[in-house]
Amino acid sequence: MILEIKDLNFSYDGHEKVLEDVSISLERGNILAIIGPNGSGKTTLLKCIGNILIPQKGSIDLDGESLDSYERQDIARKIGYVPQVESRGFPSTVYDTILMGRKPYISWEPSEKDLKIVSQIIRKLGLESISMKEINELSGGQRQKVFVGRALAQQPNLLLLDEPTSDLDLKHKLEVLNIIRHQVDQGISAILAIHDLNMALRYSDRIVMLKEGSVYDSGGLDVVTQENIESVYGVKVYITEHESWLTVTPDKPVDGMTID
Amino acid sequence: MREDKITDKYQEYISKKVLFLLVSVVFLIICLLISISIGSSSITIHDVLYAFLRKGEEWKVQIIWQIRIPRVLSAILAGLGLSIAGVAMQSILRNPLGSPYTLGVSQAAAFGAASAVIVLGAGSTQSSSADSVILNNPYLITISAFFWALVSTAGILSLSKLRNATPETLVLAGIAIGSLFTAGMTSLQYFASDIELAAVIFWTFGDLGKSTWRDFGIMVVVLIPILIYFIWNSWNYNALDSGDETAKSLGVDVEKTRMHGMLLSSLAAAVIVSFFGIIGFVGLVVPHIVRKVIGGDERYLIPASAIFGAAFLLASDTVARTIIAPIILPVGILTSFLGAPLFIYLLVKGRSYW
Repeated sequence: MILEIKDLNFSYDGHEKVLEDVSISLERGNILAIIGPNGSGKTTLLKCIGNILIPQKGSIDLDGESLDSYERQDIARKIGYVPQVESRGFPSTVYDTILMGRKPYISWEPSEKDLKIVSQIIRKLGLESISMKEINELSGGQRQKVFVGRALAQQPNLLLLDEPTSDLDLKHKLEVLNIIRHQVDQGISAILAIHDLNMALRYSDRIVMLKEGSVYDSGGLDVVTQENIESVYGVKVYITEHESWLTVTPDKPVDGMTID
Repeated sequence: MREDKITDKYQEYISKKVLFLLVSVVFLIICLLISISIGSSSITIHDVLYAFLRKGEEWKVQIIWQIRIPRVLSAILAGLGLSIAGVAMQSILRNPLGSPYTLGVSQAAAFGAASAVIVLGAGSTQSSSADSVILNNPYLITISAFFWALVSTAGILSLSKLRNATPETLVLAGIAIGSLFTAGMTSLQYFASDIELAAVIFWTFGDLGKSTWRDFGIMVVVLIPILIYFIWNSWNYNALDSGDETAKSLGVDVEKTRMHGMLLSSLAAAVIVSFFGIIGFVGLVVPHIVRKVIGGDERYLIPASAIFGAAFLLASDTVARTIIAPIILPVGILTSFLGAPLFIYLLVKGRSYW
């Protein structure tokens, strides 16, 4: 078990709970998709796992040890995090951005090995031709690959990705998720907070459904049922199967606004 | 093979940054030699080099060691300190408009220095000539300057935590803070005696004319460790440029880095202001020029800004003291003439500049 979360509670100073008694476990080699409507706590949960937010109650065990017992640096070597939006102050090249992922390993001067790892990642992600470009000159899809690349440069056991595909076109979506799938197949794990249910069904092994800060249901892909989605999202859907891939087709909101 | 090529390209890119560092050092040395040789008494660069070995005509050696060198070294240290304070503030607040001057920290420090003289009595009036106050307690003045600089820094930091604080908001707040302390300083002048007034007025525009070896010593002790701290932590500042969340996920203690950085950059600004008064825009302009040339990587940006900033202020001071000789302009006037247009340019260009 790479990750074991028990009874996690979190609230932003003094406000009402964003997460309530969340328990999740994840095994090596699996992709876990966290799904749920806006405001259900997906991002907050990822940030708690990534040690970016400190939960008020509950425990997070990483590789069998409590997250609290690790130094910051050690967590950064075990968990790579890709935020939903990154607000940069100043420009940085693709290479420098991915090299930043080596920070937990670098004392001052990056070693030959650090540079080699970064160059390997750039090649693997197909970013060779733009390695010296500023990242704010790139398209959304390329930039997302760069941020995934930075997280990979941390050589983590666990990848956390917050809406990694939300701004991407179909091709880039598949490319980014394929990269993640490929990495996970090499023996790490990943957790995605994701809106796109079809992508979740296509790429993940495990699903956690959040509703109002609590786990509504969790398990394999069979968690995604008409009843669950209706209850969590308030939307009536059809689930169809095509060559063993499940597809969710939305019909209409259950009691939402209708225009006649 | 292709991986090696990617690495080679990066190393080529890095070597350009190293080259810029070296060019800056050479530029600084040239400025230094020229600056020492230029002035009201005619001294050649040849004399300067001789004087370093304490050789040559006695009066020339005296002028060089007692007047020119302290001034030149002070310009170098002040330029270095203001530039790293600017780099640090821009990175910490993720704000291209950040600098001790634009955020009101310099004005607060000047107010602190002046109030040390007028309220706390840090200057003594028993001087030989009736028109000057001997500032016989530089420590009290510096500490008071630092204290008030911290007050304004605390204001800026708490404002920057607000969700909707854009770079422009912060700078507007900085202008408000700056005006507040300028007003404070003006009202202090009403309570000052004529003699104190003459001493206090000097903090409102930066001038390197009062440089002595003792001031230089205090500045070295304060500024050099600060420079080393920032260079040592440049990876943390690089991470901070990617946003708080990313920085945290890379193992950076964001709150600590931010607090220490603001504290030290305010200290650097306060020390410089307490000795030379407000020298505006150096901390804003220098990081931008350097960033334009070598990019945003703080590992190179911080040391390059320090060296380039030193050369920049030294060159400015040399021009200021010779341009309408025999009148010596305060260097603060010149840096404002250079810096204000760039500041407006940055405001107009806004985010698209990045």
